[in-house]
Amino acid sequence: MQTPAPVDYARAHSVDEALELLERYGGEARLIAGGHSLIPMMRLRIAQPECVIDINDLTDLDYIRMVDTAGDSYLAIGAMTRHRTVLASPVIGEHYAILHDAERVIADPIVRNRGTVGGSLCQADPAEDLSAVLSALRADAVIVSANGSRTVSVRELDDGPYQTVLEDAEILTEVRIPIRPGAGSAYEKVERRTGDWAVAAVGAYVVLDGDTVRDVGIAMAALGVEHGCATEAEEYLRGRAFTADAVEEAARLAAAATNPSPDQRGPVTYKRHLADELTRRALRRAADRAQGRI
Amino acid sequence: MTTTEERPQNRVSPAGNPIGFGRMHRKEDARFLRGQGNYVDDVRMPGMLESAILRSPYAHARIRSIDTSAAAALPGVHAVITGETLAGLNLAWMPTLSADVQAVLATDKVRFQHQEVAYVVADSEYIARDALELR
Amino acid sequence: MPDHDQSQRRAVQISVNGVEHTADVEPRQLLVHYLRNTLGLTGTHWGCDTSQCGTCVAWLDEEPVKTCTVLTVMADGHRVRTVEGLAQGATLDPVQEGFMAEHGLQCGFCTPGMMMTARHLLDHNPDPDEATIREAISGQICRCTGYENIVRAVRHAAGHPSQPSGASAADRDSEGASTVAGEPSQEVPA
Repeated sequence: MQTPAPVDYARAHSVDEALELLERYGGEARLIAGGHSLIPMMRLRIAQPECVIDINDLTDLDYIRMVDTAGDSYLAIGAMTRHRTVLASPVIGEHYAILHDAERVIADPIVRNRGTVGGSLCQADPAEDLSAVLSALRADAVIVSANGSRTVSVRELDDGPYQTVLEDAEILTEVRIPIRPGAGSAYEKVERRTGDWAVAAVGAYVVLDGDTVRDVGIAMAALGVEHGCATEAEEYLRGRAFTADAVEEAARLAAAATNPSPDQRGPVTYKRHLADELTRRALRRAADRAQGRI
Repeated sequence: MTTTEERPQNRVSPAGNPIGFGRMHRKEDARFLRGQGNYVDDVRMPGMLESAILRSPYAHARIRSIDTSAAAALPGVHAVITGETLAGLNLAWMPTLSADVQAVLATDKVRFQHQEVAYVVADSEYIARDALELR
Repeated sequence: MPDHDQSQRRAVQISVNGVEHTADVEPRQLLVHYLRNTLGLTGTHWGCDTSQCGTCVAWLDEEPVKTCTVLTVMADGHRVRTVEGLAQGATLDPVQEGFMAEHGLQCGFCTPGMMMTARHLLDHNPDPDEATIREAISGQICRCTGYENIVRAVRHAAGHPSQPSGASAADRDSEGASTVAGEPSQEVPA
């Protein structure tokens, strides 16, 4: 049975303190929030940080807010927001049902009590559901350091599997999702059992003008797609009539751009087939929601 | 006239045992429900030690040698046992219930991935696990 | 090789089932081991290496968590509730009653975790339907029951028994016979 290697522990009580601690330990420290990615890796000793910096006291970063500034309207989700909070949030359900779809299939209810939005994004697992959803939604991540803050598109956040563009002494503090009136969104995931990573998953949003696609975002998890985005499918659909044929072609384009790895979850042909089928379903359900049919 | 059929109530024999319809409540449940089970990992005895097993990453490989010195030197480790130790006591291969023999710890070679190669006995499962890293 | 220096230990103060405990622990110690090994509360179990089985579920503050995936030091200054803190002395919690009445356990290994999740569910949703119960326990594994009787047990605790409760375990002597006054002791003639 697996136990972690010796490690040191520090608890941060503010973002500034967390940044100081990160600075002090260089690259040898890891922030720990929910811990349900880091601790399993520590138990297997795949991760052996010198120090874990506990940021669970940063409750100031646990929020879901509508922000309405001049010309800019977005949903702001604090990085310490737990998965279960996102799942239970009416504001999120009202604007982006895709997030509820995804949260229902992220891990399990007990793990969702601890796991956080920031943690999921920063883990950058190629099968991370939330990364795919927020990529599809073209969300932004706010990253804070001792020098100030910067905003990075979630589509540009990951830098390879389990790597992000965050520097050693930076913290992701907030995710911002633009409000798109009339948008419909959906997430479709195939998993072997509850709590599993996806065999394949696709998330999409559409904004429709009558039957024309005014805006669309499509992203995929566990399919070997760079940054998860199905950009050709998106470009194809934008400005086009949302017909069955268009959906079929978009799904074909999305699947063609995948590079899934054959593994215990399935062979390449199966995963590509899922990419195609799940893209259709996500787009159709997103459109149904946009047009009030469901 | 209406008749209703009532499910017979649980009856109890003169000795106090439930009879007829209904079911017998298990005697052991109360203890389990209170977290007072005594599963193997719950057993605590004075001076009890914990262990960890080193397993082969290879499916089929000859064992040239096993250096147990670093593991044995770790504070809190009481013993590092290999197939060689057991072979000296005629315990490396033990009879099974199917009238054949099974390797307890690999001696000359490993024959399947994760076959047991060494056994560390230490003060805690944490220290025992630490010792596995030291080769 | 990381340093095993004992000075890495940290003092923690954790309230467990309402009782304050202080201890010096290694930061790497998992909360499940603090409960089992440091405090001797072995009702919370350790079942897998992958945070999947849920036999380790106990409450951290007011929520069920997988204690194998929390470091003890993270619980410093917080409250923990385990299966040992479910019953009120001799009186079983309705969840425990439900599991007993509905045969919700066979080997009993998953049961403490299941009950801690069930207790939390019922505290927030006093009358959950079957789908809600199944969803709530979906992060925990039972190898014995096939989950049917676990669901019945939770429904029982919510006031929908499929089996009568009968006397509680505290009311049974070592032979399992009821010692509750008033229970019939004569066979009813057919």
